[in-house]
Amino acid sequence: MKRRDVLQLALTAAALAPLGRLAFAATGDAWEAAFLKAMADEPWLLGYLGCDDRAFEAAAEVTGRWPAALRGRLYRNGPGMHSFGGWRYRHLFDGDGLVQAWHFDAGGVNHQARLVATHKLERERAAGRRLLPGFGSLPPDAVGVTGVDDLNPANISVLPHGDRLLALWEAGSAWALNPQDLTTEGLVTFSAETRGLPFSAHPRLEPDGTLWNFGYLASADKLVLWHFAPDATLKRVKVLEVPRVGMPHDFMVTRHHLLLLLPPLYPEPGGDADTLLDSLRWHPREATRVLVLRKADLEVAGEMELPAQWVFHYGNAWEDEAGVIRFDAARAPDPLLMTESFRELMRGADADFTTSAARPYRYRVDLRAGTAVEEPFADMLGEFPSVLPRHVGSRHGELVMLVRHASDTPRHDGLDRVSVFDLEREIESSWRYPDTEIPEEHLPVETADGSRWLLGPALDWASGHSLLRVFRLDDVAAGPVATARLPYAVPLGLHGRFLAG
Amino acid sequence: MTRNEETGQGLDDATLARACRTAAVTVFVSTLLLLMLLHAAPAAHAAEVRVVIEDVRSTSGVLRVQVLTATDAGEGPAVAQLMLPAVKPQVRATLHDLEPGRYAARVHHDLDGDGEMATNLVGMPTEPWGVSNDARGRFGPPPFKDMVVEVGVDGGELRMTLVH
Repeated sequence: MKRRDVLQLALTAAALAPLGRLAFAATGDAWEAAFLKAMADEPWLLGYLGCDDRAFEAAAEVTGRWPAALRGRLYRNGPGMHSFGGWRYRHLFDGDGLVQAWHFDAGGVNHQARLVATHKLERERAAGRRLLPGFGSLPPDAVGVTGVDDLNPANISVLPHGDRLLALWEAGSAWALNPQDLTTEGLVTFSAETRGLPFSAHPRLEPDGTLWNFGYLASADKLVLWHFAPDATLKRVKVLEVPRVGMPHDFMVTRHHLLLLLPPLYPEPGGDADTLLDSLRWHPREATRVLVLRKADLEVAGEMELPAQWVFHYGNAWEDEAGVIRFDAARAPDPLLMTESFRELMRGADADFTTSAARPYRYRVDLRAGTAVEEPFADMLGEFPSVLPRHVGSRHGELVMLVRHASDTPRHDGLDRVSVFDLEREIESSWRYPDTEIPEEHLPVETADGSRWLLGPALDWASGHSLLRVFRLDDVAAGPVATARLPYAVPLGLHGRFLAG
Repeated sequence: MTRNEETGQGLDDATLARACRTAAVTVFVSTLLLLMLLHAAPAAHAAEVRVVIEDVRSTSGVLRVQVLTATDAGEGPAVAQLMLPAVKPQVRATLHDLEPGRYAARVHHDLDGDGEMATNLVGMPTEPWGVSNDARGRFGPPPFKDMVVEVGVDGGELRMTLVH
């Protein structure tokens, strides 16, 4: 063992001690034991260890010059508690939602995080063990369910909506939180007829405050469309019959349309699969359908085909002068990252993060011609695309993504850079993270004075601290202008939103 | 994974009135007396079956209970339909003169009293419901066989917790 490795191991152990987790090795769950063993050799796995049933609160130590105009809250969500009662989830997407708030004001940068007190978690807390099946996990002696919200861990994203903060999952209802202290207020019902309808984790918020979302019912071949006014009241909801709707994760809005890709991944009914994940079948010879809907009447405007592909996330879509829709996305050849790698990761197995990883692609969809075409626009791996809130639904000058160049070989085997793509001039500006850090979703923001920033959370796995970096959006290659460091490590999260003020 | 059992059938007042006219059974509801229905003639080996509904959270509307026979093939005909006042947190009733056998039950808390199970836009129940044994499916409706209760000559109990 190299000296550097010994040092890293020692540091990781120190970071772990407050989590009190090493005791789990004795509980007899093979996955928990395998994960902890693997983490001793691969200390970056700290990002996927998960937290205990606890809350976090601390002031961050800021170095550099935090922009004075950058005030507000960065909310983030992601699977936080992977192990409970001595049993570890079998998939990355099953952990209980851990909602974080980074709050920047004149007093500095403060952080807090809380697990969403879902029905599921409250029942499991009372029992002292896991009770409910997850997307890819079936705990021993699991209880049956009466509906998807029995399983809802509220663990993918977050959305300030009206005077509430919503914690979002993919297949069920939103959970409402208090935006000040992150305490859980309850399951959200927007109206009696929409109670229990799925409200996905990637709603699109237009610059005027109009909110759109969708939800799918894979086993019923239905697509739910949601339309909210800027004051957060529900304007319209529509349920469409969409055969083989599958499990679309994200969607887009343009001036006149809503757009989804429907990858050929479907649950196979009637099998003896233990979990929803086990019931999914990928059909590589089928098309990934492009479904375009009119905003005006929420009816189908067109359906085109692309080669089979899996897309978690889109950057943004817009319509050019000729009415052709253009968008960008993180395109993967298949869903194996989700169906295999994110499962293996939970036992610390040497999961392949690259073969089925997503790459930056751009697309043109011509409704009149009935065509959809795609091309890669950067030869690298890339995920977590995002644009300035002002650009949602209209032409976006730049796109932010986490990427990995072909020459990069980060120890953690994931994405190791943040890049800002100038889409007009086709220039990439990139900053590579130190090998001891794993970057998380980066969000571009604008402040009231018109300055443009990039908010970059990350985990320093070597020292066991979570970070938030601020970059100039127009010069990310220069590196961060400020870094806020927490006294603890928070599990790697998924998606966030910034609320200025 | 989003299908839900639509539970309980609406009971309109005319059906209930007919049931009352022909019924020869009384039902006990906590200390409240209420209504019921049943086969007209007491069976030779009559058993007493308690119906217990837990976690009633509102006094609005009524609880509509359907008691079903279980056959080897699955769900058999209904033998009783009860309309019970909603009392927090638990409602109890007793069915007399059921023949020993295998039974199951469903309950619907008809909060608005319209006789219909309210549903959302995709047909999922939005009023509280329950089934005997609190049977649960994994990704779909509860399997009927898990709702079945054996009733012997000494009687039995159909217990269910409302799902809200």
